[in-house]
Amino acid sequence: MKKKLKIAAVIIIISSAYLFGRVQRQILDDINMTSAIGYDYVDKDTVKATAVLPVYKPDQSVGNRTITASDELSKKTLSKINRQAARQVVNGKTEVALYSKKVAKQGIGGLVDSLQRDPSISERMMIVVVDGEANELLNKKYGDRDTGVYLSMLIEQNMKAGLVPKTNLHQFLNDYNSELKDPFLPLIEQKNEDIYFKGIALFKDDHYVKSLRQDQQFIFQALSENLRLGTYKLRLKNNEYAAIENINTKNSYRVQNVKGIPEINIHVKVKGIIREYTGRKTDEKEINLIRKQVEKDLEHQAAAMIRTFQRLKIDPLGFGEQVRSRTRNFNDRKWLEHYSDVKISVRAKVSIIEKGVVD
Amino acid sequence: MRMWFRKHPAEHDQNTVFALINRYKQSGDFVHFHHPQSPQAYWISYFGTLIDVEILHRDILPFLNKTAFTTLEEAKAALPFEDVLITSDLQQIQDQLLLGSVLIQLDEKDSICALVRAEMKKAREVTIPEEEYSVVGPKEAFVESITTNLNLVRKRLPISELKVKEFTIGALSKTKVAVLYMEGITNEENVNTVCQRLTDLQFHQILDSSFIAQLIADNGNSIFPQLIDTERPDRVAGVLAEGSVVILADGSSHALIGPISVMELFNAFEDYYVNWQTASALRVIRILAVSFSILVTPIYVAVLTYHYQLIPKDLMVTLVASRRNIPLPPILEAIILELTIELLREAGARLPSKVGQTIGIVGGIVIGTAAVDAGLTSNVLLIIIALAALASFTTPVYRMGNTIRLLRFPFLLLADLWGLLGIAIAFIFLMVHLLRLTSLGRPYLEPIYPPRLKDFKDIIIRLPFSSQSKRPINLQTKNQIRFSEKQAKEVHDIDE
Repeated sequence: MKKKLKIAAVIIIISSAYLFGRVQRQILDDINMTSAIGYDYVDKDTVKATAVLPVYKPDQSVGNRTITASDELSKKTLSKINRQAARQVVNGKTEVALYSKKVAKQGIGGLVDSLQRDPSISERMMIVVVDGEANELLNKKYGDRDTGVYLSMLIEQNMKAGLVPKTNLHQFLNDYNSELKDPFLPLIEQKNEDIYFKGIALFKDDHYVKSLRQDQQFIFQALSENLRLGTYKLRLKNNEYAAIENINTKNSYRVQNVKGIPEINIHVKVKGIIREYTGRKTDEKEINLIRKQVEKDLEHQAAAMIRTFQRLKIDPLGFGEQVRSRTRNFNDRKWLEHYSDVKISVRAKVSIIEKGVVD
Repeated sequence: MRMWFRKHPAEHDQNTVFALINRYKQSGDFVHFHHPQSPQAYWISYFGTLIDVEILHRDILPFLNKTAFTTLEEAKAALPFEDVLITSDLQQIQDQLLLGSVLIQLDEKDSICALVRAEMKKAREVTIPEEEYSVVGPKEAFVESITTNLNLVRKRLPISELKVKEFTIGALSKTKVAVLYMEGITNEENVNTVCQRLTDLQFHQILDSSFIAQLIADNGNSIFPQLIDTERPDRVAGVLAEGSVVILADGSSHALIGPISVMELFNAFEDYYVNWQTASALRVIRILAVSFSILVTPIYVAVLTYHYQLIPKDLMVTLVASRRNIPLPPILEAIILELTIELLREAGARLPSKVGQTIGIVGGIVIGTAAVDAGLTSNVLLIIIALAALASFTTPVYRMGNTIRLLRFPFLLLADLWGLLGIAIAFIFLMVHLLRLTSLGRPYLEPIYPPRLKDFKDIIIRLPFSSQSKRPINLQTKNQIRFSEKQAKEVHDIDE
């Protein structure tokens, strides 16, 4: 009797699980996976979302289809996009989210929030700011893959090569939610048939404020992370150029508290190889000259950059975090008040470890 | 069928040898005749199909005809046999006749009679093992005769400690079953467990040792083999020296080994004939292959049905493109292909080997490519299923291969129901089952649970012989030490 009951219970559990306990199925070939979502400015309350839907053809080639919808809520745009799609549109495979500069100026906190709340979206998703219209950029097909995957490959490749600072959704949210640090994102632009990196978009909270030019990017990256494969172009006084590659950088922060007001000293060690030099000889003297010049340039650029940050009251390099981690009884409000007046100095130490095969 | 179990009708007036013979005479192959010749007349009866006629004509009849005897005792002395039985016990006479004895009486009506064993011994020659074939190492396999099999084991362990306990099991088959163990090494508890289960065994017919394996298993409802069956006498000798108990049954070419742990099912005995590095690598590959075989199709179904996020973007094109034209959901696709492979295997196993090859070609080329061309399955899944099937054949114990192929289906169904969560649940059920299982009362998942680090020396990996100086803990042997490690390390080279 007891055994029969047991068997009956097992059968009931299994059959009821099959009958009622279904999770929503998303069979791979019955869904449309967005590979990129771009947001454009319409008016103060409305955003226009553009979703890239890769079209997988049986001959293994991929087409690029975009669907556009506008709404006040970014999540609502997805359901509007769904109305135009033959297969259910899902956003779990979104590789890149793009925000136009105009949207970014309005603040992207709400838009990013919808990404963060969706469990199917990866924390490692890329976020970029577009100089221009995201819709226009996404409508074009670039490589042999759809625009979303193309963009993610482009960004990934550049981050690995050290040409673009490493950012993703996780890091953005971390900076955004931190009181003492402001987020930054890569800034891209479409020009002719290509997409290229224009610089770094700097944010105050979730508002875009300023962008850093391409040539300021090296020192920015050297101060924010430890670069492994950087490149730097140097213009010498006598109109000669030198290219330094394979740069390894290491930054170390030193914080001194002088009567409650902190003072930050940053040491950047730069190790690199000279790969190209338009001058004639690279003897000891010349190398020393180049070294000194790079040090001076870097320090100069850093000082100017940091001054701009202080003037705009933004802190993308996280000086606040550095101070907080070294100070007992750190006071957030006091720090933010004094931020523009804090003395921050950068000292660069360059060593050229190789100058090529010849001489 | 019912009549097999019914006892012979008890006829009290027929409880004599004479009545017995008369009853047996109803069988066409029963021979009963009178020898009137001098020097002494006698009656002789036997089953013509059970005895070796050559023994009768060469060793029994000439001696009976030559010598004069008045009693059976004298006849016994005359016969060149060491175990002539003189008895009037009806049951014994009946049994002995059916086992191939020749019955000798001085008079037909006598109740006392002599029994001479002259059974016909027909057995296959010792051949090469087929299920557990190994490239290196000895190539002898057990045959269907228990005497030959015991001989194969004994000659590998020529010491007095090797004990054999014999049982007769099966009301109808009267199968001779032998339990082998090493005195002073094997734990008596294990031997007693086997002996007690064998004596308690209630079954009318034992045709093969696998009957015993099923009947004395700790959990008869488990799909996991709880005793290893092997056709290799070298393996039997090996595990006996290790401290296991071995069961041999007459008429079966497979010996049973116990107690075992589940990981031992991935050990081929060939592992001991190659160097330890190769053996360890092969074992790891086998275990990986088996986990792959069980999990890969369910993971495919789960990911394609629920977790599209997990597919890398570079694989997406291949997967979606191959699935585009398929009308079936992943689970049906997978089940259809799995069943196709099972069909092919089953058809191949049932057919003679020459036709079996054709089946392989039909299955592999025609069905495989045609199914993809017809848009019934995706070629990605075809590769996955074929690899999974291939991987399931790597298990050295044939029965375990069957278990693994069967195990895939609950995993598949749960993967379809709840995705990766379903696979996790199936895995939990599997683990709980394995944890609860025992083999002759010893934990089945040992040395993983209970964790016994030392037993890993011969599980999953195989360490060199020099570090195998102790017997496995799982067998709870009386003598843990195989050889002295210290002495083995001492080198006595001649050039020292």
